[in-house]
Amino acid sequence: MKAGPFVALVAIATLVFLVLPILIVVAMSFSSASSLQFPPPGLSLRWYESFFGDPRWVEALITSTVLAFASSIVALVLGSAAAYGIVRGRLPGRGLIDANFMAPLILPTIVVAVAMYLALAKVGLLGTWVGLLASHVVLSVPFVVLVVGVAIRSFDERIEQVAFTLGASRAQTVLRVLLPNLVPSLASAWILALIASFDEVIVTLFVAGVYQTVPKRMFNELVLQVNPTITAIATILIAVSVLAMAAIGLITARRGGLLKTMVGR
Amino acid sequence: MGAIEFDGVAKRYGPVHAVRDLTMRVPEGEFLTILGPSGSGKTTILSLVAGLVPPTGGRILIAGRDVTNLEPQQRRIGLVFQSYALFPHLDVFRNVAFPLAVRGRPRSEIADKVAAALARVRLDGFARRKPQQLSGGQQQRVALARAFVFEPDILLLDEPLGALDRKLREEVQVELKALQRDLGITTLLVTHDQEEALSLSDRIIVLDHGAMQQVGTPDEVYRRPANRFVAGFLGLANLLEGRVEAGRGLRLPTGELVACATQGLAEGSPATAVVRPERVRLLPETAGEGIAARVRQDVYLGHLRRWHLDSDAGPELIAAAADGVGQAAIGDRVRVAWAPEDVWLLPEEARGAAA
Repeated sequence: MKAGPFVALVAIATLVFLVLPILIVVAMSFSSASSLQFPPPGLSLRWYESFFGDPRWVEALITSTVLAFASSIVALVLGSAAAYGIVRGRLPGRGLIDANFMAPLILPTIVVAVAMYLALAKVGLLGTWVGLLASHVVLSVPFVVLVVGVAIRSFDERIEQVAFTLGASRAQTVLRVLLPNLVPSLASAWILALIASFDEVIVTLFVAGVYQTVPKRMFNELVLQVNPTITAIATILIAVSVLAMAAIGLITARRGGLLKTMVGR
Repeated sequence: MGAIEFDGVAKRYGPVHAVRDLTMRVPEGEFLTILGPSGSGKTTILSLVAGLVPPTGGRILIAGRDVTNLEPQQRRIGLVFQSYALFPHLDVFRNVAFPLAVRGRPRSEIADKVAAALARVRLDGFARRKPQQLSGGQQQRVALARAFVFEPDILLLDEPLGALDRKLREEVQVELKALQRDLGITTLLVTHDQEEALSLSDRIIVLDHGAMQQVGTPDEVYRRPANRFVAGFLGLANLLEGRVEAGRGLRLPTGELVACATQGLAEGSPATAVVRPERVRLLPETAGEGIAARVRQDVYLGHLRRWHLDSDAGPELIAAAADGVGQAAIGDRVRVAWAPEDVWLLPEEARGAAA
């Protein structure tokens, strides 16, 4: 079906509505003004200097980065194992287990945050690095289970069955046959998990204690004052997300894009 | 190398009997085909032998070893699926090397055996290709080489020719048969294609609704079908119902007598005569023998010509002859006849599975 001019107009208007605020933030981050102004009176990199010159921001950036890498790798390993069990396993109630892994994605984040807060307090991990890591893993795992689960489901099970008959153990089949064929999906899942952790703020506010991540510091800063440094940080976060999505796009391009990867064949 | 024994093997999925009480022995080196329509349970039998699904009853023995509770890895079987199920990320060499590699064989032995197996399926020079770069026929040969390179006890083939076009299929049939005879390996093939079954097999099992209808050599199941299902599934068959006249033949309701041996069937008992179309001769209307009929349809098949006839004896009759042998046009009145030894009589109780 060919879209008419009206449809095209609505699409463009929607896109502008969605993208324009982001572009304004990016533009303001390069402003020379000492308060938030649009359009910027002049160009400068002073807010980037103020960000990288402030050890508290740099420390938050390091914390965020380490946390994102650690939690996404743990989520990738655990989520992939869970996806394999859910798709190929014979366990009764697999649907329920699947739904349980998806819950953090569907429930309001504030509910997950309160739940994590209470649970971590109960086991004495509230405000600890391990507790923060665990909560980020819980939030990232749905993306991994979703993407990797679809990839396993669309991989012909008979190929694994043949591997069994050829003498390969289950571990050999997973390592030598299944995983090499899942590489693009594993990479997509890992990047999604990385972004999910890097952008996370609500749950972190509840459970991080003294640990400062970039989004958490941004939130706390904004409560006190509106400082243009925020726009520089926001621009960095946007750049990271855009690059990550571009990477996923490149990885999955040969297979018809992320949507197709997630929906299956 | 070894025989396969089925001892009361059964598989149920809930209330559905996929395989019922299968007991038979496949001797060492035999090429046995399991033939049946889709849903007859033939693929289930293959999966049971491969260990991909557990049976709900009975035992399976391969080379004298009870494998009923063994994992697929321990059964020493080579399996080829219709989809070939090649490893898409590995080239031809590493696909074929896979069963040897997972067994931790030394590199030099793997190289020798894979080279020999690829030569055996005429794929030398293709070792570094990926499966996606091969034609269907080549992929099929890679799957075969991978299935026999580690010298399994038996070979299992699940419609391995189903995805090939007709001409290629006939070539591969000849090759497959030669390969199997060379290797001397007990082979179980599953198919719904009766021509494939007839041309490849030492023996055929005809399966319907999970139950074995007949087992026998190709000419046994074709010429002397055990029941109407087998007669109808293996090619076209003329089926004429009537009552036995002991020592003379079968009396049709319309009064004609189909002369044939009555093999001890009781006088007056109902029975069905089976006559293959290629055994039916067309005679001029004036001939003094046979059943009167009128040509309704004339089907030209190249190597064969087939006539569909409305007969005075009731049901439609089909006659077939090599191209150029017979002559009849639509609407012609003819008489049809056959030799008494070309008639196979089914007693009444063999009708059951016809539905």
